[in-house]
Amino acid sequence: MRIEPSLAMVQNLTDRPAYRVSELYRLAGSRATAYRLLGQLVELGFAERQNRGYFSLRSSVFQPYGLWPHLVPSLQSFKNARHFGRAYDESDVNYAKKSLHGFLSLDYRAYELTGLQTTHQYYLCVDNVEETTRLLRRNGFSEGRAGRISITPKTGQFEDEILRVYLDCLAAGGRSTLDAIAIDLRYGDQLKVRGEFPVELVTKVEEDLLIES
Amino acid sequence: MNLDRQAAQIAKDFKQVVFIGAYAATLHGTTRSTRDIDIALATPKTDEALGKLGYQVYQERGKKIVRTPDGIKLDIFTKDNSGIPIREIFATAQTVQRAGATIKIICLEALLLAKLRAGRPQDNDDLKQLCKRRGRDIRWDLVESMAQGPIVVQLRQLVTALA
Repeated sequence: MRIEPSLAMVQNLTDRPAYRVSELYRLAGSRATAYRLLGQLVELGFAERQNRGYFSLRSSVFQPYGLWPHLVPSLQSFKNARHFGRAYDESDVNYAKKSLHGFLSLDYRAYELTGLQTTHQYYLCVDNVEETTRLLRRNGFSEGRAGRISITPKTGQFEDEILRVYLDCLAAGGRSTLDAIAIDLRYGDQLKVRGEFPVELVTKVEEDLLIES
Repeated sequence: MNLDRQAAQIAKDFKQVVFIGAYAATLHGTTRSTRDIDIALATPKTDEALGKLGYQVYQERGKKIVRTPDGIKLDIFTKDNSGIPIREIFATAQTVQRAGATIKIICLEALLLAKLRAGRPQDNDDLKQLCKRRGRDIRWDLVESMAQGPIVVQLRQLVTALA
């Protein structure tokens, strides 16, 4: 997927939960260009349209532009994720742990690697999405937005497990940024690609990791 | 380590305590938190008093660290939380039941204002979730009693965008 260099203009915004599309007009030079660039950011997975002329950005969009190509496979994977739930609690995750096979990433894998944050979404990249979703449906799961089991096709590279989980956390942004920092602190010597983080966040994660070690 | 059980124990140990930060946010509707606990205390506790309760107090890289007897990091606020005075946090706190104990947590409105002021990626993430799930529950009169001006406008915009 092509990443147009002019998209980096979005990094002139500050990291906030939501923005007016009109804020992009000034940066983009015109209303039409702003909407075109926003459309591309949505397509890449960095942006999401919200109500009444607002949009939100993943905090990963503020990572150096040169890192974006490494984040796009994860972002595409998030876009294609399908969410399933049955009881909508930890029992759904327990079922998934026992019955589903694939590449585990984000919350649960980050917790296994670092123990930093509590978990919520069970995010599994699988070879055959249809087969996995059929199995879930046969066992009483329904597809929707609130389900805690997320199934997505494998997109991008999976050979280097730690790197992939790291890039998924980095791309997801928000709270997962803390997981990415924790992985960086614990496994930094194994990472071929590394993000950039504010010092205060790194310090917070360092302090919190000390609790666990 | 079960944070609810930790919170119940902290409430028993400190009596006049309100839970703030990410743990309180999970009780208002966010999904994840780090494994530390932030609390507001009506009156500061000395290191000696904390020690008597079994809490560990020590310096690490020039910063005072407090841990519960089970090793959970405890961040204690005694003046304000992101600009919201502690007395206001106590006056507007909500009561919930966790792990068989009654505990007080920061109200939704104060939590949103604190997170909006903090502005870190995890705070923005929590704000998105809270505005989506709880945006319609916000008591705007309470928000306006705690803050005025651009921050209230910003919060209204967020709710419009996300709720």
